[in-house]
Formats: sequence, C-alpha cells, structure tokens
Amino acid sequence: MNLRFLSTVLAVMALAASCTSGTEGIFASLEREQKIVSSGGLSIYASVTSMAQFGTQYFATGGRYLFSRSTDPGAKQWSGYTVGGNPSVQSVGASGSRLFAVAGGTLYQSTNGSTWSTVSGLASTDTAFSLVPVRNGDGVTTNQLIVVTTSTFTDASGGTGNTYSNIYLIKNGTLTGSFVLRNNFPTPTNELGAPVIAAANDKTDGTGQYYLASASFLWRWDGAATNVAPTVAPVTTDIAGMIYLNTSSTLYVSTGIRSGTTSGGGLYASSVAQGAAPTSWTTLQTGVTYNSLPVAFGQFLYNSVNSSLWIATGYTTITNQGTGYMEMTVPGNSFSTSPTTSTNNYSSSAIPTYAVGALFLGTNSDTSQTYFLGTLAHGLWTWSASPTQPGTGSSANWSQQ
Amino acid sequence: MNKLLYPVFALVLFVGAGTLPLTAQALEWKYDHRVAGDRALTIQLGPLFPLAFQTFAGSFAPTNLTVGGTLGLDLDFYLNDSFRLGGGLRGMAALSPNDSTLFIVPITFRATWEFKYYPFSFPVGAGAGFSFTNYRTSTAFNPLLMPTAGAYWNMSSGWSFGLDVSPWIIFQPYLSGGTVPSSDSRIAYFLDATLGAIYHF
Repeated sequence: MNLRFLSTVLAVMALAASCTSGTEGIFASLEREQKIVSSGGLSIYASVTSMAQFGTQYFATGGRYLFSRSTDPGAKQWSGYTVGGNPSVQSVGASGSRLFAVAGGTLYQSTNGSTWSTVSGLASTDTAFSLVPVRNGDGVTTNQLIVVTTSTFTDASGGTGNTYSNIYLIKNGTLTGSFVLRNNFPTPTNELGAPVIAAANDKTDGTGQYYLASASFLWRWDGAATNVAPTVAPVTTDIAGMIYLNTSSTLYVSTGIRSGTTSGGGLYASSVAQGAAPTSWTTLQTGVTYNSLPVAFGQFLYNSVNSSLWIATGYTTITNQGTGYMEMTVPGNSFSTSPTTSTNNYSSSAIPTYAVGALFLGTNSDTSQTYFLGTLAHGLWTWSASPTQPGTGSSANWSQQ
Repeated sequence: MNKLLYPVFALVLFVGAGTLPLTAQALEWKYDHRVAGDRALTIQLGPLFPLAFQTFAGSFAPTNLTVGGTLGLDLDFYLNDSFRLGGGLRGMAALSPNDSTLFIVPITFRATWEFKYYPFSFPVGAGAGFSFTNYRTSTAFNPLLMPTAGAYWNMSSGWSFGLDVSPWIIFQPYLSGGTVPSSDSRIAYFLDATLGAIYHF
C-alpha cells in the first residue's frame, strides 16, 4: 500500500515536471524581462530604419529603443523597450517563431516580443551589427534573416581596425551557422568591405538561391556554405537596394548618389531565371534628379496585389532633405522622377521632403494592410489600405504615429 | 543591622509561601497539552521576498520581481503534544518589471514539531507539495519544498499569535524536446515572513 502511494506521488511529480503551457519557462522569462522604458509612443522626430511584424505586434527601431504596437488597424500607441537591458537597438527582424534584434552589438531572440535571451552561435570575434530581412521571390514575404557582423583585425604592421565579418543566416527562427564573406586581411578573399544592405531569395518559399548586396558587390549563394561567389553587378559602388521578383524573373538594383559626384541614383534590372546567375544588366534610370537636386534611391517595397513597386530615397545632399518615396507598376521601366505626394492630408504634405529609412508593408489583425514609412528624424507614418484594392501612394492618407 | 534583616527575611518567606501555590495553580490552568486529534487552524499574512532564480547548472540570477504579498491557511492535526501533520494552501502575488503579476499557489503537506517554552511555542516544520504558477499567458504546475520556522505566544488555550518564516523552493524543470527549451529550467527561491494566528480546536 505504501509503495503504491509512493509510486503515485512520484508519477504525479514526474508529470508536474513537464506540465506547462506556453513556449518559455516562467521563471526564466522573468529573469530576462526588461522594463518598458517609455509608454508615451514614438516621437514625431524619431528615426525608423528597421521594422518587423511578429505575431500580433509590429516592431520598429531607429537605433534607440525597440518600439512595438498592436496589429489592430486603429492602434497608434507604441511602447518603447530596451533589449537585454540595452537601449541601443540597431535592428529587428522576425523568422519562424522568434523575433530577433541586434542591441549593443549582441544578437537577441524572443518568443514573445518582450523577454529576450542572447543567441549563441556567433564566432567569439564577431560583433552583431545588423539584421537584413531576406525578401522571398514573391517580393513580399520574408522568413529568413541575414545577421551582419563586424570584427577587429590586425594588419601586418600591427595596426588594428574594424571590418565587416562573417555573415549568418537565420532560417525558421534558428541561427543556421555562418558563411564567410569576411576580410581575410592582408589577403582579401571574398572581402565584403561593407555591410550587406539587402538580401533576396528567388523562390516564393525562400528555398531558392540567395542574392546579397553590399554597396560594392552583388553576391549569389546557392544555400551551401561553400559556394558563395560574387556575381555580375550593374555597378561597383553605391548599391542601395535590391529585390528579386519572380513574377517577371527580374532582379532590380538601386543606387544612391554616386560617390564623389553630385549625380543622382539609378535603377538597374537584369532578367534572370530562378537558380541562374545574372549575366547582363539594363540601365533603366541613372542620374535621377528632382528640382535639380540628386535623388538617392534606397530600399524597395513591393505589393503583389497591385504590382506596385516603391522605392525609398535618402538624403539628397548633406542637408536633412530627402525625396520621400517614388513608385512604379511592375513590369515598368522607371520610377516617377517626382516624389509621390498624397493630396488629402495636410500633415503628410511634407513627406516628399523627408529621407526614408524604412518601407514596410504589414498585415493587420483584420487582414487589411498597413504601409509604414519610417523617416529619418521625422517619425513613423502609416497608411491602412484595402487588402484587395490598396491603390497607389498618391491616394494614401498618411498619419503620423 | 541583623536585627533589622530578620523581620524583612521573615516577611519575604511569608509572602513567598503564600503566593507560590497561586503561581503554580495559574501555570497548570494556562498550559494546554495537545492530544492526538486536536486540530490547529493557522492563518498567515505577510510580505514575500523574491530571492533568486537558479539554473540547474548552479548559476544564480535576480528575479526582477517586486516584494510581494502572501496569504496562507494551514490545517494541522496533532498526533501528540508536540507533533502535528497537516496541509496548507497559500497564495502569493508579485509584480514584474512591467507590472505584470506573477501568481503562485502552493499546496503543501507538512509535518511540524513544536518546541514549547511557556507561554511560547516554536513550531519548526517541513513541507512539500506542488505549486500552480501563472504569469501572463503561461501556467505551470511544479513541485516545491517549504520548510518553516516560527515563534508563537499562546494567549489562551484556544488562540496563539506569532510569526513564521518560510523559504519557498520551487523546481521548474523542462525536459528537452518539449515546447519549452530545457535551458529555461530554473529553481526559484522566495522567502515569506508572515504574521500568524492559530486557532486550536
């Protein structure tokens, strides 16, 4: 009798050991929890350069705190957080069931968007620098992230410096290991020299070959760690954006203001089938100007519902003046050379003068879509659009968050 | 001098001889021996101090919780004058850095020894059981240990008042292959310091 009682107690205890709802340990999550540092929302002067959608939350950062808000279409209240106790949050991205952020040179992950733990697997010499979403071949979805890192090096004379180092892929929420695009100083082999600023995969489900762009190189990677190679790029400097659209089997590359000149950016296209390598490029636009000022093209945003391709612009000069965003319908040959304006909202009339650090398209809890326009030093703007007839940017009714 | 001391000494003896039986009689009247079957119902209220979380590998980390509050109810049965067995139900609440509330409800079975020094008694107990832990959308059911030490003043045969100190040691293991990674396994340490009232019946 006593043995039966004891075995019953032990069985209940064993059951208790695994009896938990949720995806993370309660005490462990409390141990990792960081205090919300602000509940006052985003400043109208905030810069936003990185965005992600994770679960029922949107996340945004511009280098200082990570902000989040609900995906409810009417929500406007953003709350600011530190990540791992660090208020310096460089970028954010979602993959699989995890949200990732780079803060203070450390790569963090979260399963709920509020408690964070460090991600192991980076080389001890690597410092996390940024997260770059891998846009799939449909031009819209992302489920993978590139982790850009930096490391210090010592040259032959004993001098030290900092360089962009190993690149890591996060797939299905897991850091899958590194592939090397590093500075093997003093013999540069596969030298990156600049951070990856855009990444794409040529299949809709993200299982195709990858394209990686830095300011000077375009790389092609078939998914095997040993086969990363530079491929033919339209230019060798000032690459600012890249997107692959498998509906037209076209790889687009944008450029900013050309180095050492006052010449505006350009748009280049290459017709390339899935799995193939680009062999030639067509110059669609070059030396773009607006009001006699050079236009700095940046990142792309694509909406497959109406085949609308947007491009962000950076600062035109050393002044804090941008050109907002421009758009074209794919297949098309060029962006409008004028910034897109929305005429039905007075407060957004200045958007065509802002530099844009992030373009993001989110799906709200009611399936409507929200365009996010993250500016440099002029806050975050949103426009909720119909999921079936989103219209164009000229019909946008932007409001500041 | 000696002539003066003799009467005083005699007076002291006289008074002492008269009052000593009264004292002995009061002791006998106030001091209750517990017998098998007597019951004690204890209610406790007080602050609870989150101490630390510990991984199963041994490293400690702060809990990030505020000082919380706890309320407890124990029912014990005496087996003899100084030993009782029983069970207890407690509840605690403490706030996280973002003001979310952690709730823990332990259910324990306990054995208590009472060391008595009239009119005080000092219960020392060992408890073990399970706890329901809830935080935001997560709930867990975990084993725990809860030793107890206290000091009580026996006001009457029916009521005692005092305080208890009880560490809570909650084991939250996660097995590999589950929805929660095993690296999230923790042992939580809390300490409550409660005012208590015991009703003997």
